[in-house]
Amino acid sequence: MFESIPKAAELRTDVPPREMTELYTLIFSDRVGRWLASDNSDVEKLESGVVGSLEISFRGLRAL
Amino acid sequence: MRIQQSLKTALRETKRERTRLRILEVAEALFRERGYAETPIREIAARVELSPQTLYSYYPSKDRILTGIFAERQQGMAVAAEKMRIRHLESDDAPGTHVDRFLHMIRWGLRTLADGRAFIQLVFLHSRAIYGGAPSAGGRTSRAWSRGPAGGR
Repeated sequence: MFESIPKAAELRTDVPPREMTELYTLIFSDRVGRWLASDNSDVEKLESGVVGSLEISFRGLRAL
Repeated sequence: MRIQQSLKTALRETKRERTRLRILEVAEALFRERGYAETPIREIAARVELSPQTLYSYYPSKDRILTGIFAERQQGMAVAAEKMRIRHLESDDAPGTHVDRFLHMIRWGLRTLADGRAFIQLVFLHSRAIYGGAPSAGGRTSRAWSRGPAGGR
């Protein structure tokens, strides 16, 4: 799934697929892991955190 | 003769797979109803109408049953995610931009994950016990299903 993110998000980038996968694995595992370990089960908070991080990364990658 | 043998083997495998899924279904219901720690493996066996020995031939421990439930869920989610991907990302008539549709998929994935939050926490807790490190019995992640009825999904 992570390998398909650049195409899915219409990113034109020459960041190697492996690094891209690492970046998104980090975003997901960090956000989801913290959410699972916390007392706050609010899914909207998780969503906004993950989607927010993705959008930031898309913007950053587009600016490369 | 060979065809008959193949049929017998196929039937046996189908029956075994049905029993395996039944074990997982019953175990999941019991874990949710009573809590993981409070569900003895012999109770799961009795509900599936198997002897504990036969159940052990499918899953050698309760922890393995738990990870078996997790694997089944993961597989189900992968199939659903693929259907979503085809419907939202491959389809030309899906609404919104490609990025919107992609983020919609991500949100769907996170909501599906959130539906199983208590269960995933329990799996992580016990995975640590199975694959290394001691479970933190009093830790946050042990609360939900370990408590039984109040700690559903």
